[in-house]
Amino acid sequence: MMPRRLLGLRIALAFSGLLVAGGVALAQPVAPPTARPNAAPTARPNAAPTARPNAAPTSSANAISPITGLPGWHPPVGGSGPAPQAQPPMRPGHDQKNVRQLVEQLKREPGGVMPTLASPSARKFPTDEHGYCIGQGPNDPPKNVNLFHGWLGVNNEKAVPAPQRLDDSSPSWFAARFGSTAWWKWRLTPHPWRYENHDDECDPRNTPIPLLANLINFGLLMWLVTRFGGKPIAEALKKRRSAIMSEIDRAKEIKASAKGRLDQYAADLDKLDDKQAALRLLYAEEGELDEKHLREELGQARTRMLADADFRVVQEAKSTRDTLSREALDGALVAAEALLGDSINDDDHNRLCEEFLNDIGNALVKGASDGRATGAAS
Amino acid sequence: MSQTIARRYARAVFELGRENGSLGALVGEFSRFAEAYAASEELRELDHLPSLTDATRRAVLADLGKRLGASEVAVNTLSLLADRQRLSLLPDVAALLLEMSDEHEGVVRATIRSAKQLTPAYVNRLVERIRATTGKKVLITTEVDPALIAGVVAQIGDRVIDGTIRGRLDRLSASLRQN
Repeated sequence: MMPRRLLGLRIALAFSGLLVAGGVALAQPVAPPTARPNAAPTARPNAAPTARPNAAPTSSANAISPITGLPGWHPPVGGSGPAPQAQPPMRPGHDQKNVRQLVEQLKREPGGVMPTLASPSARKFPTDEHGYCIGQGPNDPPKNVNLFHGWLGVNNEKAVPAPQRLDDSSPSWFAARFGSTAWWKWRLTPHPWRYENHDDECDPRNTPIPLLANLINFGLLMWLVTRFGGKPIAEALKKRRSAIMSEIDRAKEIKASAKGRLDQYAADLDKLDDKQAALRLLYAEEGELDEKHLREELGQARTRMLADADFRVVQEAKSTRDTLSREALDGALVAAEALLGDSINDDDHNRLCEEFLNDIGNALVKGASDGRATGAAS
Repeated sequence: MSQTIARRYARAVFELGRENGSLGALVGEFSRFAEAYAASEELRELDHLPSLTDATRRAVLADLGKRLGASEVAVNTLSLLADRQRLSLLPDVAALLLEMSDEHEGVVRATIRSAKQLTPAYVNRLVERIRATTGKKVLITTEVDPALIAGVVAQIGDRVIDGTIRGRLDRLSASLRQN
């Protein structure tokens, strides 16, 4: 695990180094083939109708190409075809020297106030007729890459301004082409503070974020990621892989099962007619059997109902007989009571009283010997 | 169950009356209390009114006893029954107390019902016949019931001796119904 992580870190660092080298090499403005700054201004075929105050002087070597519409020293833009008409006019003099001239001109203008380092927002820097900052148009060469200036941060008070790159006073061959000694000294010195005008992006003294700091930040980020996130990420990826593999296996099983069912259904469809005929036969047999059972059950129910009816008839007859007997008995008793009530006289009552008097002794003795609560005279 | 409990109270009152020699008076007092209890719905609800306190119940029973001229023993027994919410046992207690008193005094009570008014001579003969058979003093009560058609029926203690036409018809009816 460790060597792999180190290998990745090495690859990242190597890539970062290549980026730095390439960026530095590409960011250096290409010196024009001839000295342009001191050349007398000439009228360009496609120059603006009105002369701009900060128009860059051009030389004969800066002749506009009829095909590309660019000066001869300008790198090709947008392929090899002719430049479209919508492109802004060429601004071949927008290099650092022209910017310096712009600054000097602003200082010389009667109403112009060049912002100081302490007050960067005192005045806005002008833009060209297309809205681009001077020296930052799409056809202008890129600015120098900031390697390490301002590695500590932004401080407009303490930022060291860049000296003039091309020293016209001592035009040595090297200084004329690659910069003055002071400029190289400033460029190679890691000044801790850099200048940045937050209110005006067109300020020519704005220094971009140091590339080396970005690279260090990137490297630190990569180290942190590999140091603390490598193992969990690897484990998560392993788990994810195993999960995906299990899902794939499950999907395969489901697919195989579905295929099996499909085959079975197809086979069943093929045998559907035979099954239908068999089912029809089976249902017919079951229907006959059910009919037989129903007939038997109905016969038994009929027998049972007949027996019940006979029993009920007998019971009803018995009940009616009992009711009639009871009613006859009640009627007889009522009639006897009425007859006795009419026919009994005092003699009969006295006779019954005498009988009671004669029998009460025996009844009391009999009741006492039987232990019964009731008794009756004969 | 209630008869058993009532018998205990009756036994207690009977023993107290026998010791004090006021058994007859106690029997009369309890009989009057039982009659009042049967006649008065408010008295019957005395047990079941939750709004009444024990003191209120005692006060009501004491007032009732005072009006009926009851003795302290009777009032206290009623208060005890009320405290234990047993006033519903009062009729049973009175009946059992009367029964115990009769047993103790050697008295048998007989109720004679007849279809027509009995002559005093016949009643005396009947009392004499019962006394000779039971050997106890007989307290007899006579009633006239024309529904009996003819004859006499006597209830002596828990025994009934029926010599009426109505009784014979009933026995005949029961016999025929059984057949």
